[in-house]
Amino acid sequence: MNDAVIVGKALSVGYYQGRGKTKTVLSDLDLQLHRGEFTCLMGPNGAGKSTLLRTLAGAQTMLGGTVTIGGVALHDMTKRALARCLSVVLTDRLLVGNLSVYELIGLGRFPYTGLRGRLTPRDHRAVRWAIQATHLTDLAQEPVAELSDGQRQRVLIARALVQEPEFLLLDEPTAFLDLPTRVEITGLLRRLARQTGLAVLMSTHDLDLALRTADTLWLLTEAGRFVCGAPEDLVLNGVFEETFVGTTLAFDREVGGFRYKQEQGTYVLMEADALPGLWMRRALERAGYRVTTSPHNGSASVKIAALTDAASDATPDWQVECPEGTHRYDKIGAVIDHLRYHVPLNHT
Amino acid sequence: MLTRQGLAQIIEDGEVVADDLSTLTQAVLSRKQWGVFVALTFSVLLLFFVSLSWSSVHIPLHQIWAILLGGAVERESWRTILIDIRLPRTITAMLVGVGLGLSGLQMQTLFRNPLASPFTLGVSAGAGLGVAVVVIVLPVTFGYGTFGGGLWDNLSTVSGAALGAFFVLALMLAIAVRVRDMTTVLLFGVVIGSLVSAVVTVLVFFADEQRTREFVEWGFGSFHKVRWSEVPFFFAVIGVGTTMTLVATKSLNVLLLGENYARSMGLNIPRARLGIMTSAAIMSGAIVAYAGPIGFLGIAIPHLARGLLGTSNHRVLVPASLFIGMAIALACGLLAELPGHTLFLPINAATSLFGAPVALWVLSRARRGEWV
Repeated sequence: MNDAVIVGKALSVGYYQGRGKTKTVLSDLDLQLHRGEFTCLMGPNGAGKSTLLRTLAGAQTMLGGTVTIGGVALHDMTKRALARCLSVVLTDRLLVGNLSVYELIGLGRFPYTGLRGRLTPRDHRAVRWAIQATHLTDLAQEPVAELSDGQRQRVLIARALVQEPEFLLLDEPTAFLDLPTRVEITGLLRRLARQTGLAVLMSTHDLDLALRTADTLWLLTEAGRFVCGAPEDLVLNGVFEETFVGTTLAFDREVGGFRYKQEQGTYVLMEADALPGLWMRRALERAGYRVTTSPHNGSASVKIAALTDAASDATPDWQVECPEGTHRYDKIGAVIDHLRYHVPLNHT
Repeated sequence: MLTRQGLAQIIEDGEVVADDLSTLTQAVLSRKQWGVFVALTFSVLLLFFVSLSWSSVHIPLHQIWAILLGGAVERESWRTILIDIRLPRTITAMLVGVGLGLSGLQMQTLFRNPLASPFTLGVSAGAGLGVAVVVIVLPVTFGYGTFGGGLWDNLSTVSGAALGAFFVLALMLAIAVRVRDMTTVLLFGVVIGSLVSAVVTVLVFFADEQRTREFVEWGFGSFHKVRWSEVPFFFAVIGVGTTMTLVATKSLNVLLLGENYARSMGLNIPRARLGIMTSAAIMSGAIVAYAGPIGFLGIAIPHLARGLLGTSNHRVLVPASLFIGMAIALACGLLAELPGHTLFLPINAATSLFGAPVALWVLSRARRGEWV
């Protein structure tokens, strides 16, 4: 079964610079988006995310290769036909003045309405469906200008939905939103993909959310490599780490998040259960110490042990053994304060 | 399970029409907006008759009826005054109002700039240059007669003005596409406007005294200059411009979201731009040719429409700007007549007295980055 909505073959994207010169940003991409799948496009700034999105949306001419939507080549489609199977949510600032949520969403019917843009009962039905699907029922009559950023983003998604697309493309829809709203928007998109069979592609910098919610990740590395796959596969085979290599951060496969990389500094020997150990390790690494859990590592002059016989395992007391004596603390913060005073970092 | 039919089928099948949602179908006009339109229609009618009756010579309303219906009049001179002077003047004022309101509205949406208007973007100046070329340069170059008022003069003056307007408008749009900051675009407009005006000044300076005088008077703006022979032509140009604006309503609405969204919904941007610019240019060109460069109304009318109707939807704003334009231009005409005196003010003074406060109000609200 091949339920690919959009297929790119040997695609190169980039810019025309005038006088027949071109600047290729990404080349030789083979990609597919499937019905009902939620895909996140990630990569460092300048890797070509927006260029790729604009090309797939037909807003920018491709430099080579082909893109087909539902089997039809992108450049063979009329603007109206394209607008009926592909819709977008952009980062453009909205200056719509005094339009109600309902009116703005209704504008998405543009490719279906006649010369005067009058909405038919079928158009109204689509608008009402989109309002319900994005949980905007209570806000439908409000002016768009008075909405919060998250609500406005939902309105823009609803506007894209009433185009009745097969493929929804979003350029960083979660940027500038607070964490709960980012989770809400991402969840909404994934649910829409599942329930309606829409293929959703969203570019984002929200690594953690993308790892947890995307069916497929598209990764663009700084070197111009394009890799796609299930997020878990990309983590295990190390591609994920490669994409986000930095000098100070390292991707921790076990935790699925970043931690500070420590290549030098004083070793601290730690003995603790998994959960308190995880957070003590983070605190120690942030403070600049290297952590070892092996008692045979002779270079550790300090030992920190969780006293698990204490009342609760999640918040144990900590025993700190330094050359100048042994102390007991009930907070991680207090342990770190003690180390800062008594154990130099020994950075060279 | 995924359905194979996609969104269209889901929308068809959806049991969405719950009670709370079925009330959501939005009427194009709310009751309040209907009220505003009724009030506007009455204001236009009232101002129409007042401006026919109330000027240096007072003609009673029942006499105006009699004259318009072709009946007997107390004094024959009133008939002449009404038919030959006041009626063309009043019609001119209404056409100017409609044209400035609609071209201002279209330019504000196209440029996404609340202060865009034929005057602020230098389009009026461009039209003025077109008029100057047709009236001063061409006769000298080709040696044909003076400005006579025949069809040829109408056609050439209006075409010159429209071409000049279109040229500046195209230039401004090219700048607006490259320079995103709206204040900068406006400053470009002001600078280009003064540049073009300077060229006009040079042309006028080398013209003969009679033409110089005509030109200075023209710069004050006036509804008096249009004769009956010219009214049909003026009417036709504004009529074409209005029709084009009505056709562009759907495009103007999606352009509210910006060109990128409009393009993504299938709008042919170059064609939409060309249509909007052409109608704005022929309307402001004709107005500049017949009534002079009239300031501020082009900014003020669309904002009054947004304020009174409480919406940015062009299906409401286009007819509203049309009615408000007529009402405001008639009111400015009345103000300029100084009823009871034989003097009259330049129209530009009246429109600025009225329009400048509106522009200030817009500026004070634009700080939030939102339109009225």
